[in-house]
Formats: sequence, C-alpha cells, structure tokens
Amino acid sequence: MTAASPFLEVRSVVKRYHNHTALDGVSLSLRPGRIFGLLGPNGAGKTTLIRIINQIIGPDSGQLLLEGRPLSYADTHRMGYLPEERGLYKKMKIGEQALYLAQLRGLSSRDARQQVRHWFTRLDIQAWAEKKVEELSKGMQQKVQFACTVLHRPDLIILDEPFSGFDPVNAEVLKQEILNLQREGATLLFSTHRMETVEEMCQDVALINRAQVVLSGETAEIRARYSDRSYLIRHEGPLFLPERGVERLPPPANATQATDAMPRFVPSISTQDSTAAEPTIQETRVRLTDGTLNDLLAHCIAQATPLHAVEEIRPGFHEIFIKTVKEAQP
Amino acid sequence: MSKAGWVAQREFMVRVRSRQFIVMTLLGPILFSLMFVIPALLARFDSDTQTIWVHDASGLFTGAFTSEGGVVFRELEQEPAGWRDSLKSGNDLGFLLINERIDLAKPSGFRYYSDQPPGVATSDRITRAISDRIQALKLKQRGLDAGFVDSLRTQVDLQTLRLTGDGEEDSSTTAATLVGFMAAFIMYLFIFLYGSMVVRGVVEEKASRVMEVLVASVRPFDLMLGKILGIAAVGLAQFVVWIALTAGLVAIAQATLLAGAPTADVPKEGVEGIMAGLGTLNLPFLLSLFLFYFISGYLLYAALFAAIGSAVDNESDTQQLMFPVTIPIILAIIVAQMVVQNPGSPLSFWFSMIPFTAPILMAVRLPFGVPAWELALSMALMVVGFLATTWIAARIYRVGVLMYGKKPTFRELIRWITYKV
Repeated sequence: MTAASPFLEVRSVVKRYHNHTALDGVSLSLRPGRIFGLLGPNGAGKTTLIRIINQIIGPDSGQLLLEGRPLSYADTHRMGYLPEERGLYKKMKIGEQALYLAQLRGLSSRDARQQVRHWFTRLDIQAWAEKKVEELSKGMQQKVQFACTVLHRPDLIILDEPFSGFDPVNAEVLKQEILNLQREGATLLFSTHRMETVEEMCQDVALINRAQVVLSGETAEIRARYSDRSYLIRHEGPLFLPERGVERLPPPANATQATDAMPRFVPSISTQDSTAAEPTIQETRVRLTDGTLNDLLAHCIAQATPLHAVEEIRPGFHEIFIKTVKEAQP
Repeated sequence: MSKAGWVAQREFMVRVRSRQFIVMTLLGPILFSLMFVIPALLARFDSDTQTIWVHDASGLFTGAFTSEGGVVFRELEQEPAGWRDSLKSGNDLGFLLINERIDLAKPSGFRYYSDQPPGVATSDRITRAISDRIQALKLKQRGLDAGFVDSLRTQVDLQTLRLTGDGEEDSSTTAATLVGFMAAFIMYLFIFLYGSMVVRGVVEEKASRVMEVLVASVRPFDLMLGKILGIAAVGLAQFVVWIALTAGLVAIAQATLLAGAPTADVPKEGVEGIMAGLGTLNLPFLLSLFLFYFISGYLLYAALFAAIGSAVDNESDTQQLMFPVTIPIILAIIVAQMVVQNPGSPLSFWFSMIPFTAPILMAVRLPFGVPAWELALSMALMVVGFLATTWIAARIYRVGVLMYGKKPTFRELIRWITYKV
C-alpha cells in the first residue's frame, strides 16, 4: 500500500437510535501518522462515532476499514481509547489497574508489567504505583489514565478531550508525549472543543453537525479556504483608506479574539522598537471587496504615515466552527 | 487466558484481599461455632441444683414430685418457721404448700411461693405432678390399678418407609426436613449475598466511569460473565473456609472447653434419630444435586442482577428494579413451608419445575426423594432457564452499560432486549 492510502477509513456510516439519527452517512479518512481532529457541537454524534470506531457499538450500515481491511474485533488490541469521562477503579492500586487494563488489551503478563514500569517511570508516577486511585490528586489520576491508554503500544490512539483536567505544566508533558507517539508512527484521533488544540496539533480535521460531516480537510487548507481577504495594518499616525474596494472592519470585540490572528505569521518588524513606538501605533482592520492587496498597499505607501506591519487575518477554527454550525441551522 | 478469565481473576483477587472479606470470613466461623459452644457451656456451668420445698399437709402427694433437670423437690414433715426468709438466700427456688384437706372432685388449696415468678417449666412440672397423682387416686377409688393405666399410654414410633423400584427404604422425615431447610436457606443466602455483590460491582464500574474503557477492550458479555464467575468463586471460597473453620473451631472447643461436659440440652433420642436418619440419606448424591442447583440458581439470578446493575448510575437506584427479581425467591421460601407438609403435591411439582423457584424448592424436596424423571426435567429446565436469563441479561447489559442519566423503568429494560447495538 502507498503512503497516501488511509490508515482508517469510515465509509458512509449510519447509526440510528429509536428516536433519532446519531450518524447519517458519515465518511472520514485518517491518514497514517497524522493527528485528526474531530469537532462538533454537543450531541452532534462524535461520541457515537468514537464508540463505533472502538467497536463498542456497531453501525447500522456503512463500513470501517483499517489499512484497507474491514475492521475486526482483534483490531481493538491496536487501539487506545481515552474517553471524555475519565474513570478507573477507585479502590484498586494504580499499578495493578494498569496491568489489568493492559492484559485486557491483549498484552502478556510479562509485557504488561514491563510497559507499566516504562510508562509509569516516564510519566513520573512510579512512586505512586502502590497507591489507590482515590488517594491520588486529580492531575495524577489523569496521568494514570493516559498511561493506561497507551500502555499496549496502540497504533490508533483515540483521545476524547485529551487536555481536560490537566494543569498547564502537565498539559505540556502530555502534549510532548502525544507528539512523541505520533513521531513513533501512531495515528491519532482527537475529539475536542478546544480550537487552539486543533490549530496547534491537528493536521486534518472534520466537523460533524447534526449527524453529518459538514466540513473536512487539512487544517491549513480549511483556514485558507475560509480566509475572506481581511488584513490587519499597524501604522503610526492617521491612515487613509481607498474609497473603493476596501471595507473597514470594527475592532475585535474582545482581546482573546485578537490572538486568533496567528501571531506566528506576524512579520518581525511589528516587534521592532515596540516599547518606544507603542503609544502611537494604531491598528486598522480591513477587508478587500475589490482589487488586490498590492493596490491597497500602494495606496498606503503613497501616504507619509509609517507602516509597521501588514498581516492577514485568518479565521480561527473558533469562527469557522461557529459560522459553519450556524449556517447549518434550519 | 480468555478475557472473561482475566475479568474473573480480577473480581476474585480484589474481593478476596479486601478487609471486608477477611473480617467476614474469620468472624463467620467464630459466630457459628459460638452457636454450638455457648449452649453446651451454659449447660455445664448451670449445673447447680435448685430446691423446691414441699410441705404436704394432706399426705396424699408423697413421692409425687420427682427431681430432675437440676431441680430437686424436698418434702418437709413440718412447716418450718421462718421459711419466708430462707427463700431469699441460697439455692431455694420456692415453697409449695398443700392444704390438709383436698377435695379430689374439686381440687384446690395448692400454693406456690417464690421470690421470683416461676418459669413455665417449673409451674408445668408442679401442676402435672399434682394432676397425675389426683388421676391415680381417682382411678384407685374406682378400683383400677395405676400401673394398668400407665400401660395404656403407649408411645408409638412410626417407622416411615418409602416404596421404591427395588423394594422399600427407610426414610426419616425429621432428618429430611432439617437437611432440606438448611440447604434451602443456604441457597437463599448465597443468591442474595453474592447476587447483590454482582449488582454493586456493575454499578461501581458504571459510576466510576471505568466502564467505557472496559467495554472498549472486552465484549460486554465477557465482562458480565467474568464478573459473575469471579464472584461465584469468591462465594464458594468463603463457604469452604466457613465450613472448614467452623468444624475446626467446634472440634477444638469440644476437646478443650467442653471436655467431659454433658452435651447440650437436646433430648438424646432426637439427636440420635436425626443422625440415624441422615444415615439413610444418600449424602454424596444429595450434595452433588445441591451443588448443581446452587450453581445454576446463582447463575440464573446473578445474570439478572448484573443486568439491573448495568441499568442504573448509582447504587440507591437499584432497589426498585431489584424488587421484581426478588419476588420469586421470597415466594419460593414461602411455598417451601407448604412443600415440607406434602412433598409430592402438585404445588411442589410445579414450583420445582419453574427455574426461578426450583433451586430452593428442590433443596427442600430432594432429601424426601424426587422421582428421577421429575429431577431430570427440572435440571434440564434449570439449564435452559439460566441460559435464557443470561442471554436476556446480556442484551440488557450491553445497552445499559452505555446509558447514563435517567433511571430506566422495568418496562424500558425489557425493551432494551430488542435494541440493536
């Protein structure tokens, strides 16, 4: 098989419950070694889809293929699943618990013991192996749960809201571990509401709304597709815009939205001498309705006003999500 | 090892190592053996004799009172002065005064004094002795010999024999009843004790949300089966330890504490009769049948209990759903009382065919002997029964383990059987 062929393919999966349709012809494909983000409002069918991939439940119709073959129950040994609602046996020692879950995923006792030691050491929880879950802090429990998800070296790892319940320090540890697993060849599926996770970590994404896939593709490509030719111009002093072809946008409603403008694409000049110049630097947001960015820049450069930066305002997944879901409202 | 095997192993290990199990397993035999030892010890330390003083002014009742069981009757020629005070001290139980003139037609004038109201046994014994003597005196007046009257009162020992294919067999009703009830009670205890352990175990997995991780690795049916079998192993282990420790403790107590003491206050003939009766029962055969009903009965109910556990999110919601399931068990215990009166009645036949009541009913009936075809039919139905409930329970379970939120009604549970998952 070629590198481009999908690792996991979901083909027109339908799942109906007696009073509603949870999935209505959903198709996805996860490429090997990439992180796939599954988005969607609550109740859209994400959990149902994840349960179907994990073979906890079966589809009414449709197909699932793993490396081109129909998914079989034995394939569950190749999967790791971290459910959104975390849970472990409260009164069982975490070491024994991890061992048990690894055995249920098909590891032999010896391999299981070895993997538990490896991951507990790696995540810095070895010292607590003899403790019961109820004696551990919430963050520690999250680490144990993550260890239990990846102990059996799965090559398909399904994480439902992976970062919820982690403090920033441990979230960073987890992020590095996830990227490491990806580097080692694992394919990952994230279900999440956190758009910054999607933007930072997912190469591919699908948005499910009302039981259907309403948007899917590569993260970067989708963002480019949703670009509406909006630009942010930083300048010192008054800036006059052309009378035609340009629409002035209102400033963002709140500060957090400003960060959606992907700071890493900001040219380095914007940070130059910022302390001295800051009081006089102004921001103007515009959208091109006609003509090109070159026309706009030519107009600006003709003025004496010093320009500091011009950047594209790319819509974040937050906006894309809201826009797509709202458009779908009847 | 199969996944159900791993699950069963975990269920067993976690429970057997729990403090609750260890305490229960050790405390049980101590309590059971105390039940044997305490009556025997009491009989031993309570061996001081107590005296009832009798002053019979009529002279008609000489020798009527016989001393037995730690109570001694002493007859006095004269009514001693100051007996009222002497009663309060020592081992004097009471003072019986009989008037000088006793009218045999209308006997009265018997007074019993004591500082504490006499027990039923004491007053019975006194009245019986008096009425026996009066009866003898009346017979004598009519010219009949008291010895002849005694000989009229014959004790008949009814030997019960049961006709079987190859002749007649001894059977002991008392022993059969005793063994039957014991087995039925243990069966009832086993189903309830370990059945509710299954419910709690399933609810715990759901409430702690570990279920979602489990069902991603194990098929719900294997998960349910592993739990049921693991807990069955816990129950059997506990019973074996209980029986062995109780027997051991009783043996030790008999060898040390109770050495040389008279056995407890049970009529000798009764015990011997029961022991002899036990001898007439085919114990290995009975025990293996008991074990069959034990295991099949437990499996039948445990599966239903697992289904109930799967349907709710927390333990307090289980009660309402458990009620319909427990009705047949309670009904069986009630019917068992009637069955003992008449082990061969249609009522006992039908209730020992229905798999829900058969384990308890058959436990009661087996020691009395059950026709082979009835037994075979009941056992076959039992196997069909537990396969059916396990199948139904598994279908409810696989839906239930994924359901959170609203507590389902019993009717909804039934509907889940038909769901496609």
